Amino acid sequence: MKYIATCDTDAGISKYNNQDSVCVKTADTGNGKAALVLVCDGMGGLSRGELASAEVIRSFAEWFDSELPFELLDWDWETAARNVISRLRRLNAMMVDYGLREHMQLGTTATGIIAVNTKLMTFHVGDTRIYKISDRLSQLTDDHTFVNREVKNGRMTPEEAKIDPRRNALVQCVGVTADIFPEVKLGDIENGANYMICSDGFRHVLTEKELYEGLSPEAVSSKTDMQKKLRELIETVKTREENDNITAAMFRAEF
Amino acid sequence: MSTGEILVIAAAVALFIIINIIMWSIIFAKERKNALKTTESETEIVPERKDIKLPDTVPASAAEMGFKLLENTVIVHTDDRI
Repeated sequence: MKYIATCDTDAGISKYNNQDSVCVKTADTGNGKAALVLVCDGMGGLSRGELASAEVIRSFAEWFDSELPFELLDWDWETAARNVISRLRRLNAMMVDYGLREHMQLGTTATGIIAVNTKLMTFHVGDTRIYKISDRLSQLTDDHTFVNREVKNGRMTPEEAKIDPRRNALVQCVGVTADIFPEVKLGDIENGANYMICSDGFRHVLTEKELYEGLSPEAVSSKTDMQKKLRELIETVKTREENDNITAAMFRAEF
Repeated sequence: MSTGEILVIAAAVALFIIINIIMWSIIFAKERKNALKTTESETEIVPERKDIKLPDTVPASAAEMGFKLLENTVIVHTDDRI
C-alpha cells in the first residue's frame, strides 16, 4: 500500500497576507498507513484569519504526531469521528472566546481527510471543498454558504447563486458562532483515485472540466505530477485575477 | 599665575571633559536604544511572509511503536498562538 500526498499555497495577486494554512502528513504506522490532509481558509480583520487557520492546523498536526499512534492501537472510526467533532468544537469555543476578549472576529474553514489503511473520514466546516477525481469529478462536501442553503431550500436557483452578492457568506465556520455542526463522513478509499481539497480561491475561476482534466488519475499519479499540476493551476488562477489566497492539497492511495 | 591657580583651572578643565564624556555617553546610549526599538516595531508591523514549518518529529514512544512520518508538510503563516 502506498499513500501519496502534497499541497501548495499562494497568497495570490491581491492580498499581502496568506491567511490559508495547510497540512499534509502521511505515516507508516507499524500496521499500515495513516494520513492527514487538511486545508483551512482563514478570514478576519487585522490579519487574524491566519491565526485562526494556523490554530486548527496545529491542533490536528499535533494530534497526528502525538495522539494518533496510540489511538491506532484500538482504532474505531465512530470514536474517531466523535473526537474530530469535539476537537473542532473546542477550537471554535477557544476562538470565539479569544475574539470576544480581543474585540475582533476571526474564523476559518476546516476541511480535511483522515485516512487509515483503506478507509477514510472526511470532516468539513465552511466552503473549502473536497473533490474525488476518478472516472469523473465528484464533490464530496457541501458548501456551508448562505446561497447553497437557499438553493437547497428552493429559494434560489444555482444560476442566481453564482451572481448573488452574498455568495461568499458562510453559515458556519470555526471561530464565529457559538456552536458548529461539522459534516463528517466515513467511507472506503477508492484505489487510485485522486482526492483534492481546495480553498474557494483555488476553485472560483476554474471550471469543473479544467479541474478534472488537470487532476485526473491519468494525468496525475505521482507526487511530482501533483506538485507540478497544483502549481500550474495556481498560476492559471492568478492570471485570471482571482483576489483570494489560493490553496490546494492532494491525496492518493494505491493498494 | 600661581601654581594653585593653575591647578584649579586644570581641575576645572578635567571636570568639564569628564562631564562631557559622561553626557555624550548617555546621549549615545539613548539614541542606540531608540534605534533598536524602531527596528523591533518595524519587525512587528511587517508580516512574516515565509512559510513557517513545524518540527518533523513524533514522540519517542510513538516512534518505538513503529510510527514513522513519511510526508510532513505543515504550512501556517504566523507563529502567534491563541
